Amino acid sequence: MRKVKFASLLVILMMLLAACGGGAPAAEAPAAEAPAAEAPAAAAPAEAVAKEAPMLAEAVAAGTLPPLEERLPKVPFVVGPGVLLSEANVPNWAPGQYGGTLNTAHSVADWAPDVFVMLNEPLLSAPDLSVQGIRGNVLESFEVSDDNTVFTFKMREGLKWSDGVPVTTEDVRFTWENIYGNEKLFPNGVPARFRTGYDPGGDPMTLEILDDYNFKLTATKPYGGFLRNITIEGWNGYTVLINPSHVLKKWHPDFTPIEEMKDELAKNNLTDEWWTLFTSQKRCENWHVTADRCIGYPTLNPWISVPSETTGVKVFDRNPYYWKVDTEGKQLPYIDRIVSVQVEDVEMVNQRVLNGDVDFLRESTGLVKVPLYKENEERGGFNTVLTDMHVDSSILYLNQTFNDETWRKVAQDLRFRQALSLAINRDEIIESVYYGFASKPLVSVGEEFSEYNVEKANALLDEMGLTERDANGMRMVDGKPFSILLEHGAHAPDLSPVAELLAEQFKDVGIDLQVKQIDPNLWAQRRDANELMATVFWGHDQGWDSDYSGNAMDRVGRAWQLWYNTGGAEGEEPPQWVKDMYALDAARWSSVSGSDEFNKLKEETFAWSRANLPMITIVEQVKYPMIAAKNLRNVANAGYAIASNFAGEQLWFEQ
Amino acid sequence: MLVYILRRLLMLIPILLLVSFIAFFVIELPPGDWVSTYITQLRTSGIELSDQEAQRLTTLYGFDQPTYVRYFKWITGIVTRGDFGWSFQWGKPVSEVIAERLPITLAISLMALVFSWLIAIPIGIYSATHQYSLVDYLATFIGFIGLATPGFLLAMILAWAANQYLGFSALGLYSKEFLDKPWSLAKAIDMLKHMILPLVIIGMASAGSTIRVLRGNLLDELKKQYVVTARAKGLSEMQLLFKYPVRLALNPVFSTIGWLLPAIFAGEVLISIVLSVPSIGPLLLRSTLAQDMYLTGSIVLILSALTIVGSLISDIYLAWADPRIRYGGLSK
Repeated sequence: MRKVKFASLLVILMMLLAACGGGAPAAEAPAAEAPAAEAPAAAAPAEAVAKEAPMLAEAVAAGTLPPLEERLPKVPFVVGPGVLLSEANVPNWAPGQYGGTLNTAHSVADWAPDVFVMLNEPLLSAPDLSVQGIRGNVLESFEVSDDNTVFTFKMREGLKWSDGVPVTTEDVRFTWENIYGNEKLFPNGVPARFRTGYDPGGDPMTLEILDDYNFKLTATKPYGGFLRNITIEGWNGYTVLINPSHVLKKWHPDFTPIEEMKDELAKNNLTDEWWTLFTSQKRCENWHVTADRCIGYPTLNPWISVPSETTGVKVFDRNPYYWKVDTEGKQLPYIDRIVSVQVEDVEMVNQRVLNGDVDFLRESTGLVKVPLYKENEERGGFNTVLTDMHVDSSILYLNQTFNDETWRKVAQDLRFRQALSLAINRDEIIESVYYGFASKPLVSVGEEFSEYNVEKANALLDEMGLTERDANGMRMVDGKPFSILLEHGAHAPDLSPVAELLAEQFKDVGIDLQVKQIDPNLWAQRRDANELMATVFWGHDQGWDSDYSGNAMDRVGRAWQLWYNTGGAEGEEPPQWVKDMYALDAARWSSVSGSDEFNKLKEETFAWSRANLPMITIVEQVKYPMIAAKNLRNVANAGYAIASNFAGEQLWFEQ
Repeated sequence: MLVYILRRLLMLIPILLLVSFIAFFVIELPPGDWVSTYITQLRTSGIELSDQEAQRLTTLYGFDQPTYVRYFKWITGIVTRGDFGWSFQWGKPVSEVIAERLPITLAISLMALVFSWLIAIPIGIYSATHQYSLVDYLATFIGFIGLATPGFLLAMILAWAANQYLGFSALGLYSKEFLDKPWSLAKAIDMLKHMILPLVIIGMASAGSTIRVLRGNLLDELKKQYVVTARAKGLSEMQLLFKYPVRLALNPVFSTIGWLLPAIFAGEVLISIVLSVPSIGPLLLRSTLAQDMYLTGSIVLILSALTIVGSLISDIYLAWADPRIRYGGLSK
């Protein structure tokens, strides 16, 4: 058995030692030193540091809540410097004070994205949302067998749902057998992440329950990437494997006869469709945490949804059973309450920022608004922190399998893609669209082809034989006019200006690019039907696995992707260079995320991208403004903005 | 009269059915459905769903059934049980979503209406009776500004000014401190303060048009011979004015109840969005964009019903208030 756990532990331990001079307990190891054990809570409350929030201490004193030691697991997760976010990104981490309300705002119906990210708890985690140093999170620890097929997990003994019910392997078994195993709920069986190689058609893993706190998942083939898949990939949280069975059994026919659900079914216009009731109303998956219907649903998140006094306002109070503590043994989170108000338009979220009504905001900010934020910082009492965006916001995709012979001949020619990349004046785009807060795509495109060189681009196009030009000086192919139709869904505010600039810049090399903005739904439909010729869309940053390779293929060559997804039954067989990439992806998914082998394969994937230019990245490392109240502490000043958002439990207000 | 009202009411049924049918199918026209919109939204936030998962959701939410089947289920629910269906977007029954926003919407719309009448009617009467006086010019000027300025622009400017110069955050209905607090006197006062701006802005727009309509009509009436006769008979100016010409001049104002009713129900969309007032107008816009078809369908249905009932009410009112209409109808 390879003890991955210890490798990551060692790293954390070393970071902690360096930071605190050895005084702090490490993230997972010393159970005996867990704060609960040494804190005779009520005995000497006057002098000792309060280990729990005053509001909870009151509830304990009143007898409405069990004492802290009964609420914390035996081995709580200890948050210190460098644990949730690396010290490079939060250089002056400090244990905080309890109290305060964090105000924010959301514009989408019944969905508060900033709160969603803040509440998120995956099964495993790693600092900065990376894959380096994956360790236990909701689960206490894990072991991976030498051949990367057997994963043994240990749950936190004494971990409780937010309603006080213990979390055990029964919750895992229920999820596996009664949810994934139910053909009404999951007609296709377990989701892809529990299949070898993250492949929807791959063999499903098998679950073995060892005892109340230990279980084992076994894959048929090496699948080290599974760790990444239960860390942050897809923001699916712990609900992919652990669900409160004590609540859900009431709405599942294996445990409760359908007759007893009749009233509830009738209320929702249903007769026997318990599966619709179960999915759309009774079960709260990770991304439902901010939905009104999930108020009162047991969770493992730092804050829990509570009923609100005002329509359109979402309120989240601290979870008294939350299982993370800081280096002083104080139960997290520090902040008492999160309040998010529904506004009617995304612009109005920003208006609230300027008015000083928002203490934290990430999702709805925009680079365009930085000057406005800066101007109002003093009056609104907030800081504008420029951190990294976790997506590289604009990439030019040419669908190489679009159904047009002439197009295919041209787009599949590597020289064409290289020429287009050379024809892009990235400095101009960076200055005008990103205000200088972005860099050239050195990782995915490479230095050679991210430079602006019209001469070289023209030479490459001429070499391809596209020498004939029409009356407007535009290149023709086989004597016919040639033009690229680019359709985009305006998913992000920068896509449209970037596309327009590309159209202008490509004229200089005689390539006609027509830009058309369409509805995002139509866009997705056309993409799936292989009807998009070209598009601009984002791709996740390099930290996100496969987004520079397999995941992008629906825009690079939809027919090839179909071929791969259906095991060759549909679509078209891709050329060798694409097959090489699928092999690389498969190898990377089988390696342990964050291991040397994994890192090497990742490098190879980028090298593959640079050599083949499957997509033409415009810019990398786009900055992104994050709004944080001036008295908010433990806020990151670098790294992904979303990672800072994610580490909400360590935020605190200096009073 | 009674037969006439009954007949009009009966006619409501086929019209509403037709409207509901059209509303439902129009919502279905754009590509995709609520599930695909939802998946796009999740993707925007970085949550990736596989093709299989998307397919599973489509089936679970019943979107794999043909449109007419879903329409039939929905309309049967409304007719037999008064059940407007489920809002996917809000994860609640449609009736609950609408009920949450109805009190605020009605309060603001009605108060704005009363506010605009309180301002417009006296000003309208005064400018007509004192035509080409300084006050008339002033009222005309303000009236035209109210008419010509888009409400949302005014809302933006005033909201900005309130914040810039008074330090008052005019967005939404509550200050930050009261958002999560239970109802109290302080919270109610705070809410009233926040309602001033939407009231004034929504009121301004309709006041402008009411002033113009009233002034024009009253000027016409004042020149008529019966006014001269009445005056010659020695009727006091006030009595004369309010007993005859004003009553007639107000008819066009009250006959607009037909379209006032749906407007009161929906609230002003753009102004509500800009000032973040949680009324029904923005709800309709949002649900249409997200293809949340039961919610959109239900609001459109209610709006159509209110329009039809509203025009019935204004017809009845006119017949009751204006003998010329009453008898004119009978003589033919």
